[in-house]
Amino acid sequence: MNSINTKKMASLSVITALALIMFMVESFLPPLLIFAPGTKIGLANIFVFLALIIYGKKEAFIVLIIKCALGAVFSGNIFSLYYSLPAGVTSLLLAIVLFKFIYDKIGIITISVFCALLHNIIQIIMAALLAATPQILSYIPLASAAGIIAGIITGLSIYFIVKYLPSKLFIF
Amino acid sequence: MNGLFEKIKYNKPFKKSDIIVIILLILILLAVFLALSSHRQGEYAYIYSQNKLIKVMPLDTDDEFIFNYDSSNKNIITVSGGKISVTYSDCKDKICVSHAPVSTAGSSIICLPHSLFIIIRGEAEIDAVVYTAYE
Repeated sequence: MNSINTKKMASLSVITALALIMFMVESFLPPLLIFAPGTKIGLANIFVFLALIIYGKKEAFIVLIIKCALGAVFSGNIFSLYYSLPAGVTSLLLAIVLFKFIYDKIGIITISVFCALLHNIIQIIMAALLAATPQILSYIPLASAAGIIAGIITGLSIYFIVKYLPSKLFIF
Repeated sequence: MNGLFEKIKYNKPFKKSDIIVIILLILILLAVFLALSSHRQGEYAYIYSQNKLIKVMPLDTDDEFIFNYDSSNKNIITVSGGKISVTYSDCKDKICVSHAPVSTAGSSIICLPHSLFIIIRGEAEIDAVVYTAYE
């Protein structure tokens, strides 16, 4: 459980690569809310979730941090780390807590929605802090709306991936 | 995480409680939007950078304002036909330029890379602020 064997390392690399591919593909898609440029579905986060579900906390954090770091390199925007890392880490922590304590009562979709909501709100807060412009906080309702839609889409995607992919692929 | 994979594989993706929670969230958001939304035509565009007011532009006169973020980076802000938009920016993401022109009170345009924030206000608060325009 605690050691990373070769097969697991290869599998984690594939998951990270998929996350990065989705990150790049997504940058060519139109915004999630057409009238609000910058809103995203967050397809890459599907794979962070997947790492959490299949392997565990440590592995999910590894995928998240590599995804954020390489995403910043690939998009040529190192400053995006200031937004993506705090948002990613807090939502992953929230996902861990929710899976641990209330997964019996609610399904994967709601967990995904809550994480997407927190992710977007943290990004707005970071933007307000970094730009020293508290007025940016007025974007929180819009970001939350985008978060709910994004959360439903990513939640369903995770469900279908877990349901239809043979578990042999990941679990050794 | 232990057993989570199987749980998700064999459980339904959402239960009744999920639908209730998500509908509640959407209702709360709708309420917030209704409370904040306004279709009142705004009168002035307030332009902030780093949380400092740098310019107030009346929306009823067509005008152009060049915001110099630093010596090599700028935004061009254009008022035309009662609406304000960012028509040029040399920032990386160009989100400000792709934003549709705004005119209703409370709506805003933002350029994060340049810490630029434009918000429309309805009331003539112009007397109450120190009018400092760097031109």
